[in-house]
Amino acid sequence: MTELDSTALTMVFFRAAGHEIAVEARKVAAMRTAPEANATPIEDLLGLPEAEAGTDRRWLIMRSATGDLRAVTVGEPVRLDSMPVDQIFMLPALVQARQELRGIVAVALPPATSTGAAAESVVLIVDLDKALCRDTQRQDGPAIPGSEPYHSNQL
Amino acid sequence: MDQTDLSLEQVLALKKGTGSAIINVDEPTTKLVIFVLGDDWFAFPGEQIKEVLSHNDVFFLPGCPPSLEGVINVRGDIESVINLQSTLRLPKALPAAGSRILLGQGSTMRSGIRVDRVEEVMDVLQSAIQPPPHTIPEHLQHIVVGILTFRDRRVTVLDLDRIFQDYSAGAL
Repeated sequence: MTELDSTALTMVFFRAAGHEIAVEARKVAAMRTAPEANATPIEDLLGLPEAEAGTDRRWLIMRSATGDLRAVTVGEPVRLDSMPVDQIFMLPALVQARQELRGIVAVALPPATSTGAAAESVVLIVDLDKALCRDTQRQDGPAIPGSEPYHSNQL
Repeated sequence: MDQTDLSLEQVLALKKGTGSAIINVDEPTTKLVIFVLGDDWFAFPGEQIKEVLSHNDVFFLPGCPPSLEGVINVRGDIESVINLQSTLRLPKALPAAGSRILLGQGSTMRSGIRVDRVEEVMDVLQSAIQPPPHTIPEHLQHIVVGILTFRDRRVTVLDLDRIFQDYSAGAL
């Protein structure tokens, strides 16, 4: 058993376009239950289909690697939880090559439930900095919504 | 047949009376994994196939082409699964019950490959594999290394490494 096997990451989980998404908790500065101005839907940032109207949303204030803050809206439920690193996997090579979504850096495969039922789906692990970086490198693509830093004095 | 020319293998093959070709053990052979997609038979070189799985729990990933079914858990690690019929743009057939996933290993990457069924794993004489005909569709020409006849059927031998490279580049 390696050192990594006993390690876990604290992640913030939420929903988007019917999928469960996770980001590192250290990159989430805050969560809001009231609308934030200039917040960008996470679906737009990642390239997922738009959220259905009327779905419950929460607002996450994300901290970038440079310290900038960005407000994004995500689907409920939002939870803070620990994810063992042995459940986290790099994207297989063919998936990396052909994946069209932005910012997906890994997947997590939750273990079977206590009743023995297999997990129904993977968790997509996202790095929003990479999602924005990937698009700014495109010479002919449009700017990613929400790429402008967010300014708030409410934190 | 002069008995002094026979090897033990040849004698046993004669006695078995299966009618199968007697293989001259001095002639080079290659192992092939022969599989079926719809009405077509194909093969991969044996060294490119690590395992045959009967997995059905494929986890869908959004944002991937339709031919990339998702990922599977193989003893604690995840592998992608590509649908070979879709990848090769073959005529769509009804989903085959009991399909198999070949775990393929290329020179730099590996993946699961969905096929309808595995027909045989066998050694064939390298001389039995003929160059590919000119009638092969253009998008397949780069990945076909040869053809052979097995059970009165044409078997198209594919290069898995080239499939992975072309797939990564979006050419398939």
